[in-house]
Amino acid sequence: MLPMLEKRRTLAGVMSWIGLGILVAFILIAVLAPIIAPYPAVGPNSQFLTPPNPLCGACAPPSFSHWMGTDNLGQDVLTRVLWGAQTSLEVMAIGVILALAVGFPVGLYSGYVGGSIDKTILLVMDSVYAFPGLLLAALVAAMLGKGPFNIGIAITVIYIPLYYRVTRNQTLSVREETYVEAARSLGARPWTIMWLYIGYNVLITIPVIFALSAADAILTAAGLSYLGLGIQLPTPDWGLDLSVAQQFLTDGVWWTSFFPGLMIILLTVGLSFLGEGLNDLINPLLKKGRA
Amino acid sequence: MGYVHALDDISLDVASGESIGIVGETGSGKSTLGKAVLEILPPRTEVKGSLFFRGEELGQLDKARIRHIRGEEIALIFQDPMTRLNPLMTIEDHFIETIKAHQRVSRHEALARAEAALASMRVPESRIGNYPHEFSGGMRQRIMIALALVLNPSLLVADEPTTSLDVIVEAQILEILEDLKRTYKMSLLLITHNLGIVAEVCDRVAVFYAGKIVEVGSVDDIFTRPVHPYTRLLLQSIIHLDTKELHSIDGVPPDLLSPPTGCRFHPRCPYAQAVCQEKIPPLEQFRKDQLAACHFGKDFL
Amino acid sequence: MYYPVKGPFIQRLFRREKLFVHAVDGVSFTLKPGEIFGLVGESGCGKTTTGRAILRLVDPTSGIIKFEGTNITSLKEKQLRPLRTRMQIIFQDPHASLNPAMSIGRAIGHPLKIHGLAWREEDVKKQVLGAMREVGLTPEEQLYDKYPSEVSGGQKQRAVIARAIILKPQLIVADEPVAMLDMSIRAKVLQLMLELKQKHNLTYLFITHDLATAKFLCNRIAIMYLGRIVEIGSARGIYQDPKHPYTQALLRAIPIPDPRKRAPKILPKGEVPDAVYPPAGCRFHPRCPAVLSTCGWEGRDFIDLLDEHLSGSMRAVDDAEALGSIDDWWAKGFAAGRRIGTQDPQRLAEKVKAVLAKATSPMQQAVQSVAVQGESLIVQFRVPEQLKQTVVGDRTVECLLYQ
Repeated sequence: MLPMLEKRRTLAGVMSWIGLGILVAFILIAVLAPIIAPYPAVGPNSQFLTPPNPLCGACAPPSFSHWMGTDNLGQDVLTRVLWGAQTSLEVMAIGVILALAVGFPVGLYSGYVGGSIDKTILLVMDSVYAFPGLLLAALVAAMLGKGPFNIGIAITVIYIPLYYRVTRNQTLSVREETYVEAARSLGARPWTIMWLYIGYNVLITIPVIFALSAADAILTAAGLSYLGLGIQLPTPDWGLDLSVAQQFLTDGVWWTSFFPGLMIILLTVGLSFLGEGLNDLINPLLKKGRA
Repeated sequence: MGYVHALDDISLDVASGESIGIVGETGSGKSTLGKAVLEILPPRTEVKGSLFFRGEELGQLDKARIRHIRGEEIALIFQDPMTRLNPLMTIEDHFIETIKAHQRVSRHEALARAEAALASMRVPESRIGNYPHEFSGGMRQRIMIALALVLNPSLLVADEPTTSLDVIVEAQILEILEDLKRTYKMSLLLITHNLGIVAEVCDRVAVFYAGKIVEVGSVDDIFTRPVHPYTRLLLQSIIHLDTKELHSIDGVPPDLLSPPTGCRFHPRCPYAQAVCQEKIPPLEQFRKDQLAACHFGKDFL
Repeated sequence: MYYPVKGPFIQRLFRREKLFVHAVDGVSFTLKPGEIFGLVGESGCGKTTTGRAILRLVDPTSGIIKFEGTNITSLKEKQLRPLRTRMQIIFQDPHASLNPAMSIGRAIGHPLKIHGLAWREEDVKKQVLGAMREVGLTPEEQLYDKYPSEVSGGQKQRAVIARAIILKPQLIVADEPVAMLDMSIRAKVLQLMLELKQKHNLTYLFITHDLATAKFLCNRIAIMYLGRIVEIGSARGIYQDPKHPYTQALLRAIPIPDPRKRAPKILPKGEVPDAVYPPAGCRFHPRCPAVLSTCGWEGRDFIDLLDEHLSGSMRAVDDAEALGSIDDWWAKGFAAGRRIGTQDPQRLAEKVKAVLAKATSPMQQAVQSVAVQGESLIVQFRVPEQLKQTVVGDRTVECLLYQ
């Protein structure tokens, strides 16, 4: 059990709360999408019998019956945007959680043992890290095929080095602490020292990275589906819908791009707020020795 | 969250050429006093009251005047020189920067002053081009003192200057501080928990407990005829070469978020009575130039 | 009987040319069961390294450590582990010795689980509460669940002590256990340590730089300087009649908390030198107020003297020009010199002799010659006398004054 963090009415605290709020809101949206969406996500829902706009099929601007308008297939944008939350969060969750599940233990082990094993793993990780993220993810996604799960794996691959690095660096400094030496003097086994003494104390730095990389993951996932990888029509997905909407933008059809884009921005900003806010809260505590 | 009452109702006079020791343990507020004198308290600190330096009230002065005072009139040395010295600057750079920030002199002249300051601290001038990490702990402390003195301040505030040093180096530094007092008539505000060095170097002593002064007096009076129970118990608890028995003070220092009512020492005081919990004892004079904040001071004379 | 006994013992620090930090060099002593043995010295003397080496937290490069008759110097961790229940350590910084992620109770009980001395939570908790009561960490039920950040320094140190004794060890290495605590609670913790010693028949290796505390607590003391033991004997004896000049200097330097007893002190000059290049012969010789001509004068001492002279205010105007800058000079072993270059050899030799004339008499006597050899001017020192450990009364001292 980690000690409680102080709640402070500082900018950092406010930021964290806003970020957390946004994240929770999106989670709720994703979970409740089937219930709160006014229309089915797929298939023409338009009330217009004749296409109002000859250039973009059944698309219609926001109105009372369709708060965010409809897209070229007559699908309700609001509905698709709500359902899109599911896809995005699913991809993000798989990607980032798996990356953590792999990166953290490897980083911990690597930092603890040091020596040539550490250097080897570091080399491998740095090589992967050096790749442009989106490119690598696109490669992996292309290899794995379609579906949100595969996109999730692609995301995992590019974030493992990040978690590895952060964990390893923290491990290197925590390893030198007196209480770790004390654990050795007590006769604790290396495994115990690694997890109970070092691991626990490194874990406290993870939430920040988690939130920030999740923000990045959303953008990457949107980018991937924008490029046409992984998620296929008619699955509702923000990136995908953006991709489709792009071609109609010049004709003045703004709502099919605006709302999905807005959702991406909101969620990314929310996660960033959460990450930055947590960072400002946790770091001073780390410096004071969690006093 | 609430207010941490770091310092409460402190009143001290420091005469020119006098060295006064501020003695206290963890949570006594002594470090905060040092910072307050130099107006370098952390942000979000509320300051009530006033600090006077040579007749000028520090709280009322404008930034430029404060900066002037902070280098040339009052100087501060810390416990760990490495936190004050920039590892990327040579000692020469440090001196030039400090001198030029306050006085309009040529680089040549500034260098000359720097070398003189180092010489007076017995630091080889030839090493002025070295970086801080190339010196030992004792040398760094001497360099820091030299840096503090190069502008001829009239008051030197030393916050635990020898705590991280070994006993022989500590003795050397104390000798230097004594010298400075004699030669330059410099006043010294020595903040420490080490009563031994206070006895070696100071003329007067103020004993702090939980943010308040509990006793003030000449060093002779405080060490040989202490009035306040905390002072007496503290003196008893020192382990020195002739210690025959171990003494300590029961309990722990109070939480400054909600200090005890009345006399802040009453929970740990073996002589506490009901009034100690109810009324805050004022600082009264019990002997010539010796004040203590205790309801029963008279009984301890 | 416990025998931590070490022979020569060097710690490695890798730099470009594979230099050695002579952290502990030739230290040898025996601990008697039930005694409090003090290892006293300033920072850099190697006392902390010695303490850690005894527990094999640090591996000695050479020498032997014996514990209860067993040679533990090169045992693997697996073989060492069962022995760890019999020797424990208390560190200096109470704020850093406890895992911030473990509650006090859990931290104290952890050794029991490590060594399989108790598995069920109730058993562990019972023993922990007992240990907490013993060290005065009361009310133990309340403090059991608190985290290190929620208790005071003194309480943390008690928790560390509880953790150390819960395995019922025989030997405890205490590395500056009260240095970071307030004066008013030091006595309490030391008192506790004494009580525990009585109750459990413990042996302490008490490492400290505080001579006053060492005097009060210890039966025997070893004074260390730059990796060597310079004096070792009964505590009472050492304080009443210190033999080694370094011991005398240490005792003189202690600040006395009595303003009536202020007196000017004769202190050794300079500071503890770098442990990578310890001085030759007796390592204290460059600073010793009672130094002899045979104590180990070497090339480096001349360089230091020259440096002081060149940076000082006493130099003659043409000294800098004649002697050159300090970088022109080299020191190797018992000689120092410089290439003559364009200087006049005669004049150079004279200047060097003038500088030497300012040195202390023992140093001057140690100079064998100041002469031209080939293209350089060399200052040659005599080979010093070999330093041996000498028995003086109830003491063993390593000093030529007594040889």
